[in-house]
Amino acid sequence: MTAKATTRKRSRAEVESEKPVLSSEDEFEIPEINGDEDSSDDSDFTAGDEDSDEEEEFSSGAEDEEDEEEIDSDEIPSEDEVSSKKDRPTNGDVPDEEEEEEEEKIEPADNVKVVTGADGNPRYIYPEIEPVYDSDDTDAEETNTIGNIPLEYYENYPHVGYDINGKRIMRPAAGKALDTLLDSIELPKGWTGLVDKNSGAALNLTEEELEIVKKLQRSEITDEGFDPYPDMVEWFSSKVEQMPLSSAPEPKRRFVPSKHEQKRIMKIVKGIREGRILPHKPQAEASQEPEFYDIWADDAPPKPDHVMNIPAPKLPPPTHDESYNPPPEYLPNEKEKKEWEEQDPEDREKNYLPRTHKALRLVPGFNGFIGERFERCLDLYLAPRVRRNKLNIDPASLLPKLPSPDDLKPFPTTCATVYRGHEGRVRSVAADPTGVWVATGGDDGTVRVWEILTGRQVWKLKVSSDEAVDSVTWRPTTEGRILAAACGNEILLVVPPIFDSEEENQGKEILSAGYGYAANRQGKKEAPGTWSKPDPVLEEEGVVVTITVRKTVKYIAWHRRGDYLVTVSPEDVRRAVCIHRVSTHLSQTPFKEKSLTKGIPQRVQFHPSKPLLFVATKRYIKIYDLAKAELSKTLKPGARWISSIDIHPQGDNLIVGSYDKRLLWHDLDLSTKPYRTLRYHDKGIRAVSFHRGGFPLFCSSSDDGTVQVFHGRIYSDLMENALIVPLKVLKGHKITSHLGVLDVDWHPKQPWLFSAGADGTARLWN
Amino acid sequence: MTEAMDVDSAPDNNTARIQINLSTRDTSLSIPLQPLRVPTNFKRYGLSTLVNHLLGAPKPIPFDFLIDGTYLRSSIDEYLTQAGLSSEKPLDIEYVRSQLPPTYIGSFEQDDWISSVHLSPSTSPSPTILTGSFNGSAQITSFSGDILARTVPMHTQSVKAVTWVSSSSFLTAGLDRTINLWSYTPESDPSSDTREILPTTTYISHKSTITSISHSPSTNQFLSSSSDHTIAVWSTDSSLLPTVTLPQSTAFTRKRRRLSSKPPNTIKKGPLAVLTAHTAPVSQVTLHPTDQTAAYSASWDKSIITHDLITSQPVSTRTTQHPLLSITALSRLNLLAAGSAARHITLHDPREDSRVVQTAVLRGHTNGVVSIVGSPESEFTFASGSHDGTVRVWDVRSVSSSTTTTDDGDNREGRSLFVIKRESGIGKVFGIDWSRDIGLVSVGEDKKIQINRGEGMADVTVVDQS
Repeated sequence: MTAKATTRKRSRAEVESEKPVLSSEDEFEIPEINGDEDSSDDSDFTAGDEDSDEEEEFSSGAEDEEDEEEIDSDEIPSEDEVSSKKDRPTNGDVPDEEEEEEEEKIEPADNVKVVTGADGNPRYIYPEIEPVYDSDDTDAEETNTIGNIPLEYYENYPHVGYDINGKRIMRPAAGKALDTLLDSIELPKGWTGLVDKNSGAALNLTEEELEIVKKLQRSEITDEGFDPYPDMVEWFSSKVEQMPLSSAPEPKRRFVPSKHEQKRIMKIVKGIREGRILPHKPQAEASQEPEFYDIWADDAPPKPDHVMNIPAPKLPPPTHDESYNPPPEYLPNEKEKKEWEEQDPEDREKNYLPRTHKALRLVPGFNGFIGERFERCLDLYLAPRVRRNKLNIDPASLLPKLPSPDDLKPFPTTCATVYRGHEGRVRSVAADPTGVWVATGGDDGTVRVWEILTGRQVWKLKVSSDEAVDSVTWRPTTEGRILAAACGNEILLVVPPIFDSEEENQGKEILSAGYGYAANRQGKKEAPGTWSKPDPVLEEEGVVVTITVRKTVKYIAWHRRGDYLVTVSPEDVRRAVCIHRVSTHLSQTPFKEKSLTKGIPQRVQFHPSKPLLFVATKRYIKIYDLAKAELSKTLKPGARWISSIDIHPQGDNLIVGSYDKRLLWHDLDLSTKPYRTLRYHDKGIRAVSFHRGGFPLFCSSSDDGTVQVFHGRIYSDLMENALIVPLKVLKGHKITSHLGVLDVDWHPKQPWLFSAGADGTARLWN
Repeated sequence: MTEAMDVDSAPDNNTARIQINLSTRDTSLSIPLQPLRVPTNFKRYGLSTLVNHLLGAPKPIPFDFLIDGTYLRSSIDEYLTQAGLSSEKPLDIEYVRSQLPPTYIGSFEQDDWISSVHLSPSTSPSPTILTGSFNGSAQITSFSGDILARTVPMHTQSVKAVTWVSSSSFLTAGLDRTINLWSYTPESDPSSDTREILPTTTYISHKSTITSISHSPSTNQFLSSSSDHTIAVWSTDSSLLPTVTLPQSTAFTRKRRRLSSKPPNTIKKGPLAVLTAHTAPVSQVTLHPTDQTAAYSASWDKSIITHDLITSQPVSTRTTQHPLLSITALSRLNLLAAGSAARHITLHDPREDSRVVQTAVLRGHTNGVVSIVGSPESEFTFASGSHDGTVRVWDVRSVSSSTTTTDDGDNREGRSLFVIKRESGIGKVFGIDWSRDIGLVSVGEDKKIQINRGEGMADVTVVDQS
């Protein structure tokens, strides 16, 4: 089919080429045809030949395709030979006529205009083909639309792709196996082994194409007839051509003198004549210029006064110290150098340090070049730069204004007396209310009373051989000197026989007054503590009453009136806190069994003036109102394990020592959180104490072997917070098996401090 | 004024000279006031020779020289350089009899800590040392170390104060709140065994430890101070005192009695008067050396109170900054020296018209000063015993105005002349006494009586030991 179509087209093109008037496309071919026909003899002859073809074609329209193809195939290669066919012209005349007629008939159907040409012959003007959508595009190349799919994919199919209408493009008939074999043996000329994608046929190259490919491989221009090395034509050479290139006459300016030059010359001549120009004037000598000159002398002349004219500031001339080799007196010494370097660049008086170099060539490059250039660029850019606000404040001035410890004298500073005698740790120390004696209790199970200043032991009571005396306290009243000592689960109320017999008897009377009372109430209820008479041995030593509770008593605190004392036995979970009444010999637990479930009580204290009881558990301090029998407040010091508390004698402040090294000051009026936290100890705090004799002092003792003394002043003005000043670290106790100072107590009247150490000594500090 | 006399016989032009004015407060050693020119390289010895030459004394007396309250320890030139003075101006130099450093003579050990010491008065035939011990007894020791006598265990607790009443009787007082009068007749044969002596009278008034006794030989009165804040006035003449009964015995005393032999019966006497001016334990009371009606007392309440013994009323109160532990009157200077718990000694003018509370502070001790005694030789020097284990000797004249003003109101400070340490090296000093016969005696925690004396050291160059 395709072959036929191409043939038809060709033939029509032949026909059309014959016609003098054709479509614009065809007009291009006309000269060529003409050129060809120039050489040919007769145009009519060929025309007639063409016509016959046409006629045949039309006539054989109904015939078999094969026949037609045969004829065509015969005719096409013989196109050139048509002219040589001599037998046809005779036939040609008649059908020529017929054809003309036929064409005339066809004319209305095909809308072909017939005009009379310049030569008088009719001329057919065909309408221009409009390429509408459904116009016949059979002349267009049938393209395979499979796109960029390798052809191998179609190897197993009879087709090689699809045309634009979606119809299969069948694989061209392949030769038989033998043919292919032969082909493979004898490669045809121009064989490439490639397959035309569109048609599926073998893509062979012709001679010309091969030549083109070769040229491309050689990077030559493929155009035929292009000569890359043409012969040189010497247009301009040394040889004088006889014939000028141009026949134009020589211009006048070539031989007439220049008017302009003459003008200039005349000017000089005039000048010479007038004497303005001296022809042989001697040159001014350069040596007359001074060797040194003031480079700043010829400043730009002052511009006329104008609003927009802001003259540049006149810089002072450089001074000696800016020289590369200044006089030595301008050179800074080490101190000045250091001072300059320590100064802030903004504060420096001058931004350079005078330096000396032996020669100008030894002056190094300006090391601040880039920085200075950058700054200048920023200046030109009008870049605002944040001015750093320097804090020129002495850091010491930011500290709170604390008075100097020298102004807060007196306070204990040195160790005055060492009380030696205890075997093992001294657990507790307490100063007598009169301020003459000090009592200690220790791990050796003894209670000892010492003379304060001399350090002489005046009385000793061996309470127990295996249990330690954990706490000793004097009854805080002036009449009846009674010492309470806790040893194991016993509390001993002792009147040491060191006092006046009157005082001694008074104390004994106070203690024995409750015997009858307690006897009357026997058997009523199981009391937490049992009051009993001590052994005769102990009784002779001065012990009057023994109170036995269930578990080991760790701490005793007296009520200010001396009638009650409260004890803590942390091991007894249910009855940890016991209140004992001296006058009636009765003990009671102030709390219901479950009210103290949270935390084991560590310390207890009576409020110095109000009916309040402070119970310090491991983490909290609970304040119980004894009159209303309720919990009135809970303090949260934030410590992990409270070791000790003490209440200020005025009752509004509280200090808390904890095993996690913190000393906390609570203002009961302020908050449940501590007002001040003091972390000065290296190890856990064992004891804290307020001075009760009028000195604004308090102290803390720690396992790091030190006692720290603080000034803690409370103002009567409620708006003013307490002033706390650390005063002194008292060192002297040795650390024995990780234990330092276990207890502290103040002298009741003097600024003297007693401390009990794990090293077996108690000490007086004054 | 006459021209200044050149001292050196062969004047050397190279040595600079300075004009000095020599003066003294000792009237027996005064020389006519005349300006002298001495080389500035003179030291103490040169000046001392010069003064001896001027005095024309047959036996040379060693002198010390005080310039502006400071002892001259180097050459005058060095002093001028140190003080920043010019050698053009005349220099006022005070010369004093040289105080020799008390050297260690010996020590006698006892059974227990010794709390107090009193040396026998100069009227007694042989010098003896009376000491009170913490074990409740008093001992009389001879200068050679023999224990001449020991009291029977009358005191149930420590003896804190002892004093001779006469050469044949003495008083002891202590922690058991009683004062006992003992009679002692020195025996002709010192080699005999230690005698046990018996008390004659017991004085009962105090309710707490008796801290000191002060006896006046002329009136037979004595005072006792106690930790119960009171001072009791007694007389050795028993007929003047009211008779009292012994207080009811207590368990402890009963036990003591049982352990020891039964104490001898004594006459129990009460006080003539009780002075209750103090509000804290009274640490020491001392009678005025000449005025029999006045007494001074120092107390832990920081005050020095002058008592009028006739009316038993306080006359004046001087409040200091620190608790006071000891006091003594320097009679001829009208000064009181008080030792404080704050480790220093303050000098006070007790006269009522004196405005300043204290005239000088003497610093150097490192613990409380518990005992002060005047020198028997010079009215200007005194010694102090302290709990820091040292005895220091001070000169009232060697007090210079210090550069730093203290809060004590006065800015005159002094340094000690000599420091006597315990030979045993340990323990506190509880009591000291100083007499011409025996020397400077100190007792303390080391259970020893230590005797120091400043004799036989005529040409020793004094080194400032502080």
